[in-house]
Amino acid sequence: MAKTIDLNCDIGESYGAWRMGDDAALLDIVSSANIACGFHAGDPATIDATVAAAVTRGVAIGAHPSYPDLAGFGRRSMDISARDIESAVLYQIAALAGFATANGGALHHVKPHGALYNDAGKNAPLAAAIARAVRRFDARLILVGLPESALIEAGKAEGLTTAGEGFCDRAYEPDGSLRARTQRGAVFDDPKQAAAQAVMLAHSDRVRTICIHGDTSNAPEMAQTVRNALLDAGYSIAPPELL
Amino acid sequence: MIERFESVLAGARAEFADIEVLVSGVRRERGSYVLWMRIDRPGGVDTALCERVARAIDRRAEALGDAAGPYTIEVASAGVDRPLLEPAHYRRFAGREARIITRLRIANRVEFSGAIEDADDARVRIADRYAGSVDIPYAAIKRANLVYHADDDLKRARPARAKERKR
Repeated sequence: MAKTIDLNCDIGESYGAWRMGDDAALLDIVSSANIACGFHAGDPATIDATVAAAVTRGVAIGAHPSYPDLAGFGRRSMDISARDIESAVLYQIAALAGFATANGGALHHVKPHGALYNDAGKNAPLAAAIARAVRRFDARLILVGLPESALIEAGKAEGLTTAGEGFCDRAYEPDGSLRARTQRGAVFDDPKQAAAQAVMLAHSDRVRTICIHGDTSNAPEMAQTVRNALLDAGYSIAPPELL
Repeated sequence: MIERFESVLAGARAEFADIEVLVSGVRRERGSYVLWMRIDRPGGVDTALCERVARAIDRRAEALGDAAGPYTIEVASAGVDRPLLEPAHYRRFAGREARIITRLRIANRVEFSGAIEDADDARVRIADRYAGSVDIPYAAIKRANLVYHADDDLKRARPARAKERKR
């Protein structure tokens, strides 16, 4: 039986008249979509249209909650109490789930965005607040995070199904964390390099889902190259299963 | 070796114009190779057909010589609850009842049963008895098969028997 791997992408990150990424092209390639919930990107009309497109294609819908930081695209850390983060994440999950239900689909997973994702990987109280928000909303949802991070541990502690995530287009530090975007060589732009890293990550037991970024100019080409490499390596591509 | 056995299966399959191979493959089991195939044919598959196909595979595998090592052959019918694996299958069995299990919740459900209403290259429309008419993208399907009703077969069979008695 071939191993199944999930290919996920952050999408729905346009805001108003401002366009970000070729979402339609990416949705034809990936098996899971992490959709911005309005805090770092994504206005209501964008969320509605993105969710509808994902439902039509059979792509798993994930909420992609963030710090409340539209101007900073959610890439800046914020000093917010765990209690407030829990409410902020709950608010964003509920919004996405509402659009999913209205479009005939259902929410499948939650993956924090940007600085919230990175901070929750190391900060246990923050990670616990996020996991609690997910569990309070729907304990069947899958929580996505860096393998063995504080976020994944918090998800397990709340009894959630978790999925370890690998990044095919980002450089890793020796400790397994992602190299900061401010550093040189942090983001790969060569599709072949990303494809090779994707296959390597897929071989790891800790990685259940591989992220491909949608904010580069050649994102669809890159995603297609990665998908083909995984299929050639004998993987079938599908979202992690719900409980 | 697995690749050579796979070409054996492909060769044998080409000998039978009217059969459809749903899935086939080669696997290792207790130190020997298993060459397996699930087949279907309009009008149904009987054991005689399975035997003929198995013999055709055997002839071709024998021709590989001793290097092939021990192997067994499994040829089975797709069954009355045959799996639906690609858009063409849904189109062919339009109107028949199918059961579809999805990976994702669609209309808040993961299990659908009902007549296949329509199928294009991206999705199948099924008349689910609870959720009504639902479009299911193929990408969301975990597994799907036809539903077999023994009653329907009996209904078809009874009038024939009645006729026989009259004679």
